[in-house]
Amino acid sequence: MIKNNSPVSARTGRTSRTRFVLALAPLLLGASALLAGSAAGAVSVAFAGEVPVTVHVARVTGSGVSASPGASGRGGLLPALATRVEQATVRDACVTSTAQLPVVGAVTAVVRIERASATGLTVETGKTTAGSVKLSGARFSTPQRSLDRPTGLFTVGAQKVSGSGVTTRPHAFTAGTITSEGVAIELRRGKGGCTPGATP
Amino acid sequence: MTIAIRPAGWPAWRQSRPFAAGLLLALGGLELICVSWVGLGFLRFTGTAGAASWTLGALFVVAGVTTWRNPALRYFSGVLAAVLSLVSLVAANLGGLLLGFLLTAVGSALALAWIPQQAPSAREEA
Repeated sequence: MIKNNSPVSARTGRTSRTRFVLALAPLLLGASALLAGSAAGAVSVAFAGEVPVTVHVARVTGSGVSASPGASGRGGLLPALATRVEQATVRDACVTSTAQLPVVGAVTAVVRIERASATGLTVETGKTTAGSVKLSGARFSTPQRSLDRPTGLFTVGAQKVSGSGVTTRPHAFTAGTITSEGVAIELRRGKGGCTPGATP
Repeated sequence: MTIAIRPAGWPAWRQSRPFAAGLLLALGGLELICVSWVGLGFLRFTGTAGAASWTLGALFVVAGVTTWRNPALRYFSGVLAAVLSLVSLVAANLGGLLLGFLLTAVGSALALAWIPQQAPSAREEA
């Protein structure tokens, strides 16, 4: 038998369910408000672009388009096509991103957007494919520092561009404002993505 | 004459502090960093969200360690982590693809909900 006459400072603890619910509820409420605001275009969500993102768009239209080859932002490691669009509208877009997480494994986030419009959009893409593209008011220019030898990067531009069945892997993008409608976010385990042209 | 049986070692350490809260906060912070880092497999700071992922992730880890090392500061670290978890939603890859947000939100709620108690043996002798 053990007699313990010394003052005991051992403490344990327990988790109060009521306090847990009271603490978690406003958090989830705030998160819902933020996600709803993001879906409505009121709150912009920042992505690092470190996770490979694939974008499928059923139909895209843009005006004031100019594109030129360059290097993407990651220390200039990746060649990219930098495209500037003054005003762009996409319909039935599907954004997929697969991240390899420790323990959990591959997790794929799928974001479906019925309609989104952006102004002052600059996208750096590594690879882009399209079912059909229609250009109007196209132009091509090569900056020249001397008459004998053109230097610098060429620029392709168009007043209006429309395309369908577009799939692209953007490295990074910046936009003045983005307004989106009908946003649905889904998380699933494993790799995969959305079928090009699939409707939400 | 009383028999005092109290947990010792690892169980005592674990039960004497909001262990699960600290663990979830630290895991959530690491997840935020991993989503930003593991995507391409090498270390990068890219844009606002890349820097925010690292900053918020580090703060979550600090909050988790604080709840372990100093349980008396659990309200401070819990409230801090709760606010930062909401910030991570808009600033860090949608809260580390939502998983980091869920981990840190539950972790902060657990930190706020933890109530210290005297061990049964201590109450008996009091």
